[in-house]
Amino acid sequence: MAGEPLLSVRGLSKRYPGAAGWAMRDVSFEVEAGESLALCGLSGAGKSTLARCLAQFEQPDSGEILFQGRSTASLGASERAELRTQIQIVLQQPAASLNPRFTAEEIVSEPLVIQRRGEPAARARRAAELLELAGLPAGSGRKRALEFSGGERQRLAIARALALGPKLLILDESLSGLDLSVKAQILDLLLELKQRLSLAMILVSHDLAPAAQFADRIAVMDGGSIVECAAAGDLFTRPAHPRTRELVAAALALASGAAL
Amino acid sequence: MTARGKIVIAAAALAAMHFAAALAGFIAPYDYAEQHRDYPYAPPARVRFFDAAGRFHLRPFVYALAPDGPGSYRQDTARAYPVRLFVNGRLFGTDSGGPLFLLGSDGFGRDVFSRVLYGARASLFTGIAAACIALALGLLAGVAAGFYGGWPDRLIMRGAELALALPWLYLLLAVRAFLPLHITVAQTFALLAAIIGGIGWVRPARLIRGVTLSGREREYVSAARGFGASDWYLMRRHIVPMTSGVLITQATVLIPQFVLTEVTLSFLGLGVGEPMPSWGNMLAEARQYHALILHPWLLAPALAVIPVLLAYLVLADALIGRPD
Repeated sequence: MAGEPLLSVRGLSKRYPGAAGWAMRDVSFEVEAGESLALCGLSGAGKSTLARCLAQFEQPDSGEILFQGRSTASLGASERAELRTQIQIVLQQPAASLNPRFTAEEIVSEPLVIQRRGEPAARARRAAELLELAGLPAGSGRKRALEFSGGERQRLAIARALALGPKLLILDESLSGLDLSVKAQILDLLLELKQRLSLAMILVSHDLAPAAQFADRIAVMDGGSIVECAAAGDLFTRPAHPRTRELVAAALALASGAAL
Repeated sequence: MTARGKIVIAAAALAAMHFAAALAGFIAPYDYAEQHRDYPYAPPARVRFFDAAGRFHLRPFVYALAPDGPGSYRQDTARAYPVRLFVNGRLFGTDSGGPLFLLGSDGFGRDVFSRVLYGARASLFTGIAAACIALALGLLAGVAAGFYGGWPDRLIMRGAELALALPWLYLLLAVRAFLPLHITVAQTFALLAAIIGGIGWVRPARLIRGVTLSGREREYVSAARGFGASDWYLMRRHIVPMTSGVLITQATVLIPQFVLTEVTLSFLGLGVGEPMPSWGNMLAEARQYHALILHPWLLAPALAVIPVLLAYLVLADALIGRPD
């Protein structure tokens, strides 16, 4: 349907059993095809819960997720499997999300194996393409995950997430724990991928600075809800919510500290 | 000594012992059932290089045995039998039919050394087969319980507790009582391995369940699930390989334990039956006090168990102590 957003989230709420409060409450937003959105907020704001619900790892208690106009709750098993190929997530810790027993080629081609796409030779070729696309040096395919540096592991995780040709890529705190230069390199890679592949991306981050550099829009979460959502530039110049002002001040203080 | 050094030495010793057992038909100078009725309870032969006159011989030899009262022998220095390699299709022996009982003979004049080697096949390979069965059952039960959780977990773990609580020895006596009196050697092997393995699956199952419980929460398992992986794929590609360390160390702990179990069962008459030797049924002959005092070489199978158990335990200790 023309003009329809790629992803539409309506009134999504989730409460974990035994928890005192809501992990996520009445969250609504939209993401257009090829658009990048950053979800920012402090720890416990509900960002990762939202990301995991979007990636179908968890089910919300109420609300609706529409992907290309169809509610994910109404999908049958085969359609849900197809949806999982369209929405990919890069998890928080690249080292933990890569099986240390696998080679880089096995890691990157795993989604193709699971989805039974192509013959082994074709999968190996596709894995080599993806490793190159993610900026990993030639010949990386035979190395095991533990042999890569932190930044390279993140590239490996991104390459794997791209294997099935998704339309939406979710990056759950994918820049956390990386040093500044590596973080900048990964951001450059994401911006390049966004342009080359016309991918929609959702970046989950507790830090506003990389979000501002990367995203078209930024949504600030607090206490499980989105408290403010605006274009990256507007959010920095005219933050409306106290939590946003706090995050902006922290990002600016860090930036000036880094400049000193 | 480093853990690696211990592993190499223990594995080499085990390989040599198992190799010798597997090649018993070639290494043993006699068949396990071959009787020398003229030589019951003959003492271990003394392989010599010097004859009675003190002359050195390059080729080792044994003297003939002459009866000297019931169950008593003296060496007949007039008759010497050289020990040669590759005699009658076997590794070594005496070419003129002279008796070569390296570890003595039993009441039927059967060579104890040959029977220890043949008996090793029954004891060692029953232990290995039983460990394979226990580990396979433990892997199935542990992975299923840990991966699915909920009622399958509760059912399997309660089953494990029941298996631990059953009085297996009496159950075994009852099972044996139901079976025909004479069953083939192959049936005996299969029965022993199945029973010992059927009892021994609980401990590996519990350990593997623990590995699976933590493994299923790994992020790379979540990631694979996100790509649409089936339960079978996750178990096959991610969970089961995680258990390889537990499986290997458990194998090194279980095999010696099961070898001892086989020895005990055969000693009690529940295992391999005569004339096929096993270390257990050979020791049964030594359980009479007079036999033990007069013919202590009948205890050779008990001594043979020791290096096997030690090697397995050193291997297990070194493997468990390794960081990976």
